[in-house]
Amino acid sequence: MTCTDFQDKLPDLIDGEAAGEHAAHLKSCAACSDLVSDLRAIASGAKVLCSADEPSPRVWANIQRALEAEGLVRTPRQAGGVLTPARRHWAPAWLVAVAALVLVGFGVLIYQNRLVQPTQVAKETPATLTIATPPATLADDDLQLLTQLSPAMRDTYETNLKDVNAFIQDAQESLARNPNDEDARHFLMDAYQQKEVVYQLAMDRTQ
Amino acid sequence: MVTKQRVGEVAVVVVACVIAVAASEKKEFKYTVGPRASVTINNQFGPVSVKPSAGNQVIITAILQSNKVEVDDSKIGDRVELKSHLLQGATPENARVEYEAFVPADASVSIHSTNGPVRAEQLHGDLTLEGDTATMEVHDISDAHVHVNSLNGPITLTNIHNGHVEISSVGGDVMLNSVTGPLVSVTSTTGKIHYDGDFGIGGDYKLTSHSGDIEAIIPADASFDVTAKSMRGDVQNDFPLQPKQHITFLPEKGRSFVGTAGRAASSVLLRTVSGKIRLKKR
Repeated sequence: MTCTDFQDKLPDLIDGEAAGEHAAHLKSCAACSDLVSDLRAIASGAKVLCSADEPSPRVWANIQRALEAEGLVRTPRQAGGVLTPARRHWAPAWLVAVAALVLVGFGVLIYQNRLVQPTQVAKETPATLTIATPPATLADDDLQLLTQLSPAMRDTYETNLKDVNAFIQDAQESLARNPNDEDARHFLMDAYQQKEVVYQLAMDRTQ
Repeated sequence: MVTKQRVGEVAVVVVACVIAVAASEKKEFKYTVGPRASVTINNQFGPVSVKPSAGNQVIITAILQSNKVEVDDSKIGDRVELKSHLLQGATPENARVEYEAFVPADASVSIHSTNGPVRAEQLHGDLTLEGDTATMEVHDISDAHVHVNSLNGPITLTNIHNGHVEISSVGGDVMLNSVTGPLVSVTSTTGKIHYDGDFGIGGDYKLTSHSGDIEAIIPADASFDVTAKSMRGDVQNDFPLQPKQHITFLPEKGRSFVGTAGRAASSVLLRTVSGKIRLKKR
């Protein structure tokens, strides 16, 4: 069983116990085990959420629509919807809402996961999502280094330093946005190594 | 009239050539070294070529463009070092030196050249190349580590096996053809990275860029697991991958993919900030 197979059944496993090959996968896969633990923690944490205000009927309707759109629940047979809370029992309904939000979130994730199949060609990403590379600048140390180079080499090194600085700035911003992002951390290390190479080559030229 | 003018032009060219040849100087350096010798050539301007010699001889020919440059050489133990020494009035043109070196195949070779080109072939000692804009071509290296640091020069490695390959190129494109080993690592800022090969039978392959595109062309029978991520660029996979048993992240459509091929012998990580990634079947 793969992680994708397991995550297909994730909504059923949050509240109950995994059995059979799902249980086996849960034991052997740290990533899925962590995921289930996190989800259960969220669900149990929701129990301590205290709110005097009951969510409005519009919230329930939105959740209902989202769940239906993801195919996670069927259209209710009776008017009022399966998620319409009984006013006297707001606490269980609130839990259902939290669970529903979790399910919707993971429904989206699983849906995205399914789309990235091995033989599939990714579609073009909308241009509006593209973030421009930050403008390249030079630090004082960079400028000092450049002054030590011959004029013939200066342009080459200036261009490369700007490119590398843009790499560093980009990686720093990514890491600032997502401090736990391993990739951003690796990018930052790679970017600094690139700068180290530029400095090392430049120092060789100034000797 | 036209004929006389033509003859005059030819005469000028011939005279210029004669002067250039007369100004250039050819020097030859010969050393006998032991096993695993170390050879370093530091050339500011001009090409460097390294090939294997028959025995334990290091033979280096240097053609100096003018008297504005000289070659300093030294041999301490089994360490041979040649360096272009620029003199007063040297320019990239008149300080050019062409080096052709024959070294024992097991020698460790280190070459530094600003504008190159640099070429090394058929060696099995460690190889270190550094350059600014120098074109670098390395082929038929086995059982040795290859390290390349470059600013903007294009780098091409062909038939490199069974050693660590570590390349850092800021702006130059990197082409790897049939390059395998326990570690193959390429980092680039704006340069493209192109890999054409089968990822070997058990190694770590890390191709990383900032904005340079990454492309890998793989035969159908290759054995590897791959993780490809682009933070802002597109990813495209034309290779028939199987889903991985365990994944540590959820792939994002159009930005990343993961999967395995064959027995997943090698680990492949393709990572870029804003470049495109493409995995293709050969």
